[in-house]
Amino acid sequence: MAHAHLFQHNNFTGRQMIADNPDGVRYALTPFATMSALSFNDITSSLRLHSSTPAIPSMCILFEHAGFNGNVKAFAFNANRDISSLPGFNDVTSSVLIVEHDPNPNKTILKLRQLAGNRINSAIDDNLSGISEVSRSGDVKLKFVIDLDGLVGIDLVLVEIPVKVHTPWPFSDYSAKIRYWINLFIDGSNRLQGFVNAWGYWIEGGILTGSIEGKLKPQVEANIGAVESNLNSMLREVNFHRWTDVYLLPGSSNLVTDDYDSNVNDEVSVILPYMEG
Amino acid sequence: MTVFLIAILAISAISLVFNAGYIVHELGIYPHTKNRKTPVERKFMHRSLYDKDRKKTHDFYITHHMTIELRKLGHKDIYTFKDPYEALEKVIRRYEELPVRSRYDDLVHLSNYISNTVKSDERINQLIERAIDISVSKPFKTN
Repeated sequence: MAHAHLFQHNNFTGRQMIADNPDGVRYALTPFATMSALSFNDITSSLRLHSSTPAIPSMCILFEHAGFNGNVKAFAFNANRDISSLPGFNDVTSSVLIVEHDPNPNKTILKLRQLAGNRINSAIDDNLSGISEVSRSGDVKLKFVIDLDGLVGIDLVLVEIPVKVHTPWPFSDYSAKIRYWINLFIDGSNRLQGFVNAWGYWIEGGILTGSIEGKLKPQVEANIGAVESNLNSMLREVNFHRWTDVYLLPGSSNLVTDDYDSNVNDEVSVILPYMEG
Repeated sequence: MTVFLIAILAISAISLVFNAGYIVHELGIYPHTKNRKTPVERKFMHRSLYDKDRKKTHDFYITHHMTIELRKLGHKDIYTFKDPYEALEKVIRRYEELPVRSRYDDLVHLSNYISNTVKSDERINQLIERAIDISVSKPFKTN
């Protein structure tokens, strides 16, 4: 069991808040609402990490924003560890995640954005080529998301496609974002697969927003099948082991036993423990 | 009469400028002139056929923001106190006597409640440190 003990001031002084993981599960979440209810938003300056299970590598991840968003600072631990100050991250923490990693030392870490490279941009361009009114306006983002539904959580990869919606003169183009929330999972044969858990979009405000939404919505929904089929054909390439679990870390993590700094928007790391042989 | 006409002309001119500005803004004729306060943002859940193959491999624990309020109702004897030091000593003693999940939760949540809403001083910090030490050295019994 691992837990983090957050302090208001440097050197473990001032008010304090315990973020714990009593069930010893993979993810223990202290969301913004909880920190806010304790008036602990944006005040963390030092922390003490405790672990009673040395065989399990744990991580305490501090997030800059609510909803497990923004810059992240991750501290790895498998015993007691004191962090007396947080240079560069002082008084900014708005949500906290404790991760108890799989104790299995055999793990592959995939950095999804790096792995997808430009292929994902090209795949999206091919997909949008049939629609004359829409074109991609930037790199496709792959982002770590934890969706909370009451007391149920789910770790997802958010695929966000920035697009320009072309409109007739005299209107200027509208910015929009097409979104698919992907649930990666292990099937009964220990293979990695994924499906679309949710879909949606954001469209810039203006007098054409309603009519753009009317056209975009059915196209985004109709594309779910293509997204799932492209995703699973891509994931087949990484089924070189028999995986036992798949879970995500925000940003770019090299090793589950290393500290790291990153940003949720830059990368998503996929942790895949596997069976030997 | 002339003064009156000039006044009407001036008001009309001002109105024309504002209306033209508003139309340009709404049409988005120039970049960044759209109404950015009213974007549309939608999210829809999807039930996929792939979901049936999914093996559940990990779980979540969420510290809900209403936890302390609910515990105040369920454990009135713990959360109704005059002396925060005595209250913390009481939950530590209870846990030492019988380390079970419910008493562990009281150790954590009462510590958070007292430190952040009742009192925070050196003695409170020492008691919370003791509560943490005992929860690590003596894990609660599970069924």
